[in-house]
Amino acid sequence: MDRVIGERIPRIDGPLKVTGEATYTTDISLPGMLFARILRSPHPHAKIIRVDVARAAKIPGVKAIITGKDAWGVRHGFVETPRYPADQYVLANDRVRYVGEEVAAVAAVDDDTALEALDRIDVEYEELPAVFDLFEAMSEGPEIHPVQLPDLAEPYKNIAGRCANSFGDVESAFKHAHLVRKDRFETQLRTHGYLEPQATVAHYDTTGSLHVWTSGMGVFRKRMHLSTALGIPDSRVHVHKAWVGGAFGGKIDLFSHEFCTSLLSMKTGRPVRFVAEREEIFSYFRHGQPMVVDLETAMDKKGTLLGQKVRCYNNCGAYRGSGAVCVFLCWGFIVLPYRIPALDYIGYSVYTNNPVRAPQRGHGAPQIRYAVESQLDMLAEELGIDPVEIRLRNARQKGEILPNSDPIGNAGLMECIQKAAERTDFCEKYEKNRSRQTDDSVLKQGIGMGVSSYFTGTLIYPNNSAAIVKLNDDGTAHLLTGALDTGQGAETILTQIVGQELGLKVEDIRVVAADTETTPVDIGSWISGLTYVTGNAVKKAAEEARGLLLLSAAKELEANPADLEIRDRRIFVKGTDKSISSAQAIARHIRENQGDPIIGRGSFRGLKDAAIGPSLKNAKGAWSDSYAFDVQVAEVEVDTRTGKITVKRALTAHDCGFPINPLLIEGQIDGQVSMAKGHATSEEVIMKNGMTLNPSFLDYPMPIATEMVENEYLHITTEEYETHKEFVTKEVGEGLVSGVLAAIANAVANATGIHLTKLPLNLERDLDKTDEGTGS
Amino acid sequence: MNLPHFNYHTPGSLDECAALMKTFREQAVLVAGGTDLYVRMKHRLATPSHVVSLGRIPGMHQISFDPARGLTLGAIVHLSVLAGSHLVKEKYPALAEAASLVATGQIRNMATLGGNVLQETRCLYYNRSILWKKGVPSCIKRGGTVCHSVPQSKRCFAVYQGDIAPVLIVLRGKVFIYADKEAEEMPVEDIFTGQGKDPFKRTDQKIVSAFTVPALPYPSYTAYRKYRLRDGIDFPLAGCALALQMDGKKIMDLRICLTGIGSSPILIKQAIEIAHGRELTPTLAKDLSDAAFKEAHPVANLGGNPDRRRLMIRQMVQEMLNGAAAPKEAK
Repeated sequence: MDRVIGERIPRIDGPLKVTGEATYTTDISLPGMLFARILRSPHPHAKIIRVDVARAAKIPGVKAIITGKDAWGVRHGFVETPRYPADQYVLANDRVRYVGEEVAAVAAVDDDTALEALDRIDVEYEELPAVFDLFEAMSEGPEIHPVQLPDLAEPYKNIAGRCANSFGDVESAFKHAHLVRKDRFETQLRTHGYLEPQATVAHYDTTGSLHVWTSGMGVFRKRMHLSTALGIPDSRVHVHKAWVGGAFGGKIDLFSHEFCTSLLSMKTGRPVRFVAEREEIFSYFRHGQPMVVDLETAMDKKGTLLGQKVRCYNNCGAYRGSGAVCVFLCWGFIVLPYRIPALDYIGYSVYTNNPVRAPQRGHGAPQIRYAVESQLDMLAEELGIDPVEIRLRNARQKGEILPNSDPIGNAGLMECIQKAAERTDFCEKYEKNRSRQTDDSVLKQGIGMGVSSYFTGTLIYPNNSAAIVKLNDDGTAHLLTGALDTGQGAETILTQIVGQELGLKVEDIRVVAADTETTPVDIGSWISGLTYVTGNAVKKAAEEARGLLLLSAAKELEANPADLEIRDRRIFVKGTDKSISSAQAIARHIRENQGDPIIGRGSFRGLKDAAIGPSLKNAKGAWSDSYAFDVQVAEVEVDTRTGKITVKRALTAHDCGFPINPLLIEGQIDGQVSMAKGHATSEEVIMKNGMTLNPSFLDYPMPIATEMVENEYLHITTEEYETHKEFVTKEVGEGLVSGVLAAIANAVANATGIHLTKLPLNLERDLDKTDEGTGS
Repeated sequence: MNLPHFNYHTPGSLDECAALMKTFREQAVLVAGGTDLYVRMKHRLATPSHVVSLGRIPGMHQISFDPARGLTLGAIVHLSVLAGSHLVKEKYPALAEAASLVATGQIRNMATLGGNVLQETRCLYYNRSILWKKGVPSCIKRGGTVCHSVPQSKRCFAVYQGDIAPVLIVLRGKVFIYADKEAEEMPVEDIFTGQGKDPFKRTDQKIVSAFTVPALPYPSYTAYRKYRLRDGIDFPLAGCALALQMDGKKIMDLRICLTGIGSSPILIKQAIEIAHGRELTPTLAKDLSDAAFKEAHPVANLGGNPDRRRLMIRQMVQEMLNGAAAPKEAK
């Protein structure tokens, strides 16, 4: 039959979305629905002396008001472990720690009434000293949380997370090095820029079930958080599917508005809807992780890495958020792509009175790869070798083992580097551009390379995925999966897998997805493991259904099941035209098995031998079953009069294992390259004393449609998809934002001779040095 | 956020419109495309009880040209129409160019000439909702006493970011203001006060109905350049308009006007004093761009770096003048 796997199949949700039929959370309107608004702290750090809702409660149309008293001591966290207990309040109790922290929530008959009520809630604060800079917070700042890490070796304050890992003889590496460089790299506060705002509809019904629609990244994790925070059983929280208009890491764990909307519905017995203003999202919701990286590298004459000392400092905001995870991941993104014989790594995540931070596509990888790849080019320049050679010399090869003992299997990094360099005439262009750095030309051309690697899912709740494939009487199928398609194409990919196993076209398969009551558990669309973990669960479910179908057909055809194949809803004896329809085989199965229709079920969990994921404290333990590798090349033009950087084109050569749908992979690459372009050249959330100064898409200069980068793709396939075997795909949805970010920075250096160590790349200061008369 | 409640009026004539404005006085505000006003209303920066639409008044969409009187543009000509008009493109290319650079296609389809010229001044600390502003004391433009951009200042530094007014100004455009069955005419630059807080002269109950631009007397060169961070959407972080008239090789008239830099368009008055009767050489272009640079004093109250915005003025003026010289040299 025709292959369904590996084909360029357009997204099955496309028609729904382009016609506007797809239902997003904000489209959901229930009879009697109330509208919620949240009162936020105007102070970056203050004690709450008193909250008085009496005036607000008197307004006609106000149906419920909740404050910290309704959720005293209820805390949640991105991680909740003995070392890192939940530290964030669903509603501020006796203290606020950032501008915008949630203090009270109102449900009213309409939005205007809810807004009016906010104005009449009287809150008395006692302001406290606040700190926004992470190094100030570590040294002299006020303590933001009373409890510090118990085993902190250094005399630092406000440490929310610390990850330390070393191996090899670092001192000796530096002692015997031919070349040592130490640089500090800084990355800015960036936001995800999801177009659909954060929104939640909650309805607590008369049977005591809470129905929730929310813009998230995985329904089972939302259910877990909501049930814990609200104190009701998992089985009473029903998270329904709503389409998601982008997330990029910004919608993973629990948000205060999800709790508040739910509790307001429980208090009133009526449906309640909350939709965040864009300004609220920019100012108070979770952005990515700004990072300072001190990177010291020892290298021999030929450009071989001997050792690295790394200190990462992450400003995680007023609560831990994903900061403690991010400083673990930064370790990972250092050790993945290159062989480092000796490493001394410590990452700190530091509390400040800023809004909380979340994962953002790449979660540490863009920050780290930008630093490492920039410095690698600086080292190569000093040694007089080219960027390709220095990367080939250090790149991990097939079969290597990572410091935590994870094997990297069929890693295709070497091939990626070689092919990318060939395709782009890298070395030739690189030398030519270098020779033109100091000539009279106004427009300089640059080419740069960046290497990155990413993990393919790990263990974090809910760890696993399961799936059910039901065959219909006409031979078509229904897939039941908990996977939430956040726009990356999860439903399309999973449908292709079912189609491949059952000999069906994608249009013969319907998907029921992301509903905690009707679909089985799913790992979620946020840990870079959905295609691998859920995909294999779906494959197993489809295989089971296929097995039963063929067994039944074998009886009818008087053949061995192994000699059968399925094409176009018919089952054939291989090499003959002897066949029956799938419908006949299904009917026979039902008849002969006491009415049992064919239902296949499957489940999958990565890291079979591990009970839990890797240690966030010391990076020990298995991390992932497979790792994706990539190299990206960017070509830029720099206008030396204005400092304007234009990313002309980019090439991505990547090993994603087996590409199930190259079209969707290219979509992922397009998205990541353009996102990286924004991060490299323009985007920054500008904050002053805890306030966001550019809280809108007008003021936050995310690239627009006409500025998208022209992309080329090289899919390096290192795995095959086989029947009766787990397939290995590797991550493709977030790692590819990193190599190209580094490549853009290196291309700018190639064009101008200036290595910028701060993002977004800003040539103004350096160019203006030579521009006389600017001070007048 | 939702719009606040208001009454909406759609008068069918200028007189009817003027009567409504007279009745409701300061409670009323005129609207054309609404792309500036409605956002301000959502932010509660404007809270009129009565919104009076110009949309159904005949004649306000006109674009016409007469060699004696020049170009007449109705106040509510849509920017997409202005940008696409063959007449305007042919005779006043800078005007069409400036219109085409405003915001986005969708906004240009709604936004109007009058609305763009009369758009309010902007600031990072001002164009925010009431919810955001709970965290900061009211600034001068919002009725408070502080300027968050220039804390030691007693005045407001909000920036005028219209793209089209500077072009009308260099073209010696005039604005028609209608009140009580009479129309008053004044140069476009005269409607500005130069103040960030209240950027326009009081025109209560008066209606800007049209703009006129005289026919250009000599072979002329007009241009508009805009500095912004992206290829679209953005307001100008610095912009300059230029109109140059030559008599042979000699400069007869030169007007340069800046936008996105101060609280009103800034006409560089020295330009013609420096340039009159001279040939357009790279040296003169440099002197003129320095003169424009000296008049530009942006502060850090928009996106982008104010030093860069100032440097861009010099660069854009120099490039425009060199561009004006280039085709002649080629002849």
